Amino acid sequence: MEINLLWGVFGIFVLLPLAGSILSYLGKKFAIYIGIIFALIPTIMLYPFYAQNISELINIGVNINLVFDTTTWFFMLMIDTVAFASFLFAISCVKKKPEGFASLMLLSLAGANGVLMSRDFLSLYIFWEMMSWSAYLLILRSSGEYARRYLLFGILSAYFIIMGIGIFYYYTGSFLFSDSAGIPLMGWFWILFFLVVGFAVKMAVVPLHVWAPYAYSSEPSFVSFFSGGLSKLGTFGILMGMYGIAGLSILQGFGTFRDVSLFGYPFALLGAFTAFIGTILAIFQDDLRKLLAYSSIGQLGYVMVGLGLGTPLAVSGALFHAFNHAFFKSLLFLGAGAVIYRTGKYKISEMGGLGYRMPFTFLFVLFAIFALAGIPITSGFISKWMLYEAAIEKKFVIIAPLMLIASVGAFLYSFRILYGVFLGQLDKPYENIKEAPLPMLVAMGILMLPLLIFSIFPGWILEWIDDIMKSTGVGTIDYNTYSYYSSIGGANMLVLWIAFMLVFIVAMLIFLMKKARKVDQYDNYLAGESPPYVQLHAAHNFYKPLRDTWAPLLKYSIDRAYEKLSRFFVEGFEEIKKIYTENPQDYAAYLGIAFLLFLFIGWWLL
Amino acid sequence: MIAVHPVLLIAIPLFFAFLLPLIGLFSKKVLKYVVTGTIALNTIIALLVFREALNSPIFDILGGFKPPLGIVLMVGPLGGFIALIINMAGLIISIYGMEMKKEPLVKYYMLSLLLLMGANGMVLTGDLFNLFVFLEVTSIASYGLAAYNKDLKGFEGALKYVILGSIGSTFVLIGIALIYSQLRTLNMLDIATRLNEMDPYVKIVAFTSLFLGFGVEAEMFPLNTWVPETYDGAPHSVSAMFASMSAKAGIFALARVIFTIFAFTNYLWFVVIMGVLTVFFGEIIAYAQRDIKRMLAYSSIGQMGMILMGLGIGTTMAVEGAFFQMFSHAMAKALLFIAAGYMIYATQTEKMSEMKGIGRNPLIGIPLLIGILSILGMPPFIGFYGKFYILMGGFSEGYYAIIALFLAASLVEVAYYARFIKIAFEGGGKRYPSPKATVYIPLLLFAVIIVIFGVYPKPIFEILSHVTTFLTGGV
Amino acid sequence: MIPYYYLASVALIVIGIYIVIAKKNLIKIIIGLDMMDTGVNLLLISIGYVKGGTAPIENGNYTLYVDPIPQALVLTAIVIGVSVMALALSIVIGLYKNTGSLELDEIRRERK
Repeated sequence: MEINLLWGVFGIFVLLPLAGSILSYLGKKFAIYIGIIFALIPTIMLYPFYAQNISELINIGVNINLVFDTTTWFFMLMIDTVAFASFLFAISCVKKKPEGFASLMLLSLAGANGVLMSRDFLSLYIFWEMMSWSAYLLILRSSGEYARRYLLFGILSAYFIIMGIGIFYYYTGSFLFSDSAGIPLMGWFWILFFLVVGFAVKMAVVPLHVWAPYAYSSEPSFVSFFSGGLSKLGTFGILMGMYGIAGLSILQGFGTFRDVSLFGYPFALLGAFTAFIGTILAIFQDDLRKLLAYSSIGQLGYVMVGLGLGTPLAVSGALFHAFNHAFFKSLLFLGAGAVIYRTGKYKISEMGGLGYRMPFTFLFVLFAIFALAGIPITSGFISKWMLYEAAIEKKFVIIAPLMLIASVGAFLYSFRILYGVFLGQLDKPYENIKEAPLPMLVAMGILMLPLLIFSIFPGWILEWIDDIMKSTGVGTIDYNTYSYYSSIGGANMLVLWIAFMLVFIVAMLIFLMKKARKVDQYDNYLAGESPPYVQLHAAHNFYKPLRDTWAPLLKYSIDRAYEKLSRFFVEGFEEIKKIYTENPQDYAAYLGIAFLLFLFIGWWLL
Repeated sequence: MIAVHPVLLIAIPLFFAFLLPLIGLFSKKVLKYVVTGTIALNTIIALLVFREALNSPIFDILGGFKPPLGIVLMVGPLGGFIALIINMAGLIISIYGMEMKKEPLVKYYMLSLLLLMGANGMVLTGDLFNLFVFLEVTSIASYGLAAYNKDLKGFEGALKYVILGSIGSTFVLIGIALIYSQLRTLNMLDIATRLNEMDPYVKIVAFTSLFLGFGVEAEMFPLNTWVPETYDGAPHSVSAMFASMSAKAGIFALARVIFTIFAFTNYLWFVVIMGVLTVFFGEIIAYAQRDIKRMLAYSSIGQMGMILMGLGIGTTMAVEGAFFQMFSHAMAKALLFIAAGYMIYATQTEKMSEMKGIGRNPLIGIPLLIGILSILGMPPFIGFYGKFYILMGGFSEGYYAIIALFLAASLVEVAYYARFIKIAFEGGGKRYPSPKATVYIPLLLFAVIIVIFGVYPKPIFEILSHVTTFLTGGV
Repeated sequence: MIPYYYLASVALIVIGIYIVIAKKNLIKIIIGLDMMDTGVNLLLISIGYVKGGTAPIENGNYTLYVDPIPQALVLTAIVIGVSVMALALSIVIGLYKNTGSLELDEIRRERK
């Protein structure tokens, strides 16, 4: 009866969203609600299917292998939850053609779930492309130019993947992950190179990240799913490619550097640079969406570091961080979406003081920012700490400092959001702004919950990760419910929480003991005069001194390099176009020349 | 089961084509229904023939002479499949053709039936000289249709087509003459079995001539130079017919030259290189186009190059992919040309940059997106399978560098289609007239075919399993 | 030894192509196409030629006659050639009506 179980699982996680996609398109006005139902069912059904291990070979002309195991479950947990939250959020914010939104979201959800279930390249590629183009159409809803950039990179990634698949197929004649015996080391190198680069595009690793800031600036409810959910498929792909298909022994076969595969190390280095560059660029963004986008790039750089290093601690850390990132980054995008929905502005410098009017949004965003910046008591801390330790453990003197600097940078941009958007002076136009609508708040609350829970009980998620690590054969780490241990320390969240609570209570007491006078924000004066209204919110040119310091480096831009490259190509195309002269006599001459040429080749071959 | 003669596929359009002027004397309005009805009848017959051919190849002897002397029609499963595709595409395009207003309508309908007949003949015939005759019938109908608009653009396109087309058919005739001079036979299977008797040098010249001659119709680089201008100058429905009917017939003829007649296995890499060059130049020049129909024409070149590449790779998988691609390209490109026809009609310009927001009407937008995604090779649309199979076939033969080049060219394809989509779905455009039923019905029909066989490609693959016999020189 | 009529047909084809490539007048280009056609027809006919043979009419008096098939082919090819020429000429007429010229470069200049 195994096969029925598999079809059941496949039905719930892939076919159901697909059906929902059609239904919600027909649903017109109720499309979003139908979408919620069809996103909720897979999310809930994840619960009974925990720790199942279903695998089935199916022959559809070629063998394909669909699997539902902890890896699938773990990634589905992120993606489906985020998708559900995004749908909830969309109730109040997607007003324009909701049927298109809902059906495309469900389509990409089905694609994503399909990718997670496939353990063969054919179904992987099919679902991957489905997810890719539906995401493209979703971006197209807000901007054609952004969508074009995304599509180009999306297809680039697909073509890298297909090169990898093709070389795999050349050696094995099969698409199954498990049929990987007998591939020579050189073959492995190219397969892994193409696969990892292909999936890294989806994770927006520098220098393949330039699509992300644009794609992440489209509709907030989709972007939170995109950045939080779909980008994890890149993580999944790299995990599968490097550790699921190839395995540690082949990676080590390329040579090692302090026990880390020479294949993985450059990617880890690239990840560290991604974290660094993403963070630096995020600091200087004034557009809230772009800031979060660059931050997302930076955070996934950490994940890439972990996947590249490949020690048990590093991969666990990477998975944990990916999990955290899914939730806190979706939460941040939703928070930003709520703020943008209420104010209609994108620029941080045009906001301010919204925390007074939107306290719940502020609270959720604050918590997400804590997690993002890795403040010790949040789950973001523990995952980052694992990654630091993994780098420090092996004494990597470039990777570890880059990550630490990036972490400091994360504080800077987090502060920019906190101050620029929520704190400071509430500007006059926003006097009467209301709290975000209820569905938005519920969506954000749902995303905050796991962050809170796993900050106290990291052991629960480490248990799932442990399962994944066992199945990939990377090795496991020591952990218990509140903490994990490594060769150079580890972290105990219970201790941290108790310490934090003590400090918090003391600080609270001091705060309460001190007598303070409550003043209105306009209760101020300048040089003895009391002006009626003054813009005191200093969010313009935020971090200007820092920017000036970095100016020499900031003038190099990867975006511009790409633009130059594309201009070069387009000019080249115009030149090549001149072959077609539009003169029939030239064309007749081509025909004659081709005939002679073919004849020569033919005679030469004889 | 009723025995259906494949010759009906040729006879019916021919009969009705010359009946049309008579009908036209009585009533002009009824003409378009007659044409669509004829093609519908033809499609049904094609379906029956195809079903019969699936069991065993049909040989239909014409004129009473026995082969190898007499003319024979031979319909294998693949030939039947391609004939079905051509008739089906013709049927759907003829619905769009109903809205044709420009006189002389009788000639338009006549020529389109003749084009259909020629294309059917090219696919069905088993005789080399007969193939040439049908090639010429197709070409003559095409020359007439290409100039149908009677404007400068149309005449120029037609002139280029005439010049290149007649040089091409001269080459075909040279090839036929050379083969006949050595083997004294014109039957394809007969030629194939006795190929060894040929002098190798004459064989090379004959092959080159035939390859080049059919290459003109099959849009191979550098013989495809007529394509953009002819497609651009022709009426929209005619461009769709060229892309999905005559080009398919041409490439199938080319495939038969390569596999059935010459059973060419050692030098197939040469075909692959020609294919990849076709893709490369087609896609790159398409990027540099500003007019929608020219862009589609160059893109069509690129797609035909992909089919050629698949044929050249020559493994079962790749050739299956190539045939699948013929099907998907016939459907998707006809869809895009019809959509382009509506867009040009609605915006009164061919410039893509002035078509802002034209796709925002879902009746146009959704088929347009489906067509483009299918051309780009996205699952679950039919374009995916052809591309994937061709690529995998190429990989299993070790053509890495060529495939990398091909993928780079495909990336360019993505770039220009995305550029077009960006404009087509941009907000803030004017209000455009909504499409008539004759426009959106064909669009939706094509889109439905693209999606249905994309989601459930199994029947097509079952047909394509006959590729193995085709590759070993069978029908 | 290659018979001279083969050479003649090759020469006709080459001259035809040369005219198509080099001459600017549309009528001349079409004449070039026609010459190519004629060249191929000559080739076909000469393939079927048997030295000393008569016309392929079966009446018992002659045993040696030329191959009938190429002649049938040539007849067809001539018909096709004529119709292509007719169409080509009508296209040229159309071009002339549109531009008032038969010179290729002038027509192309008109376009721009």
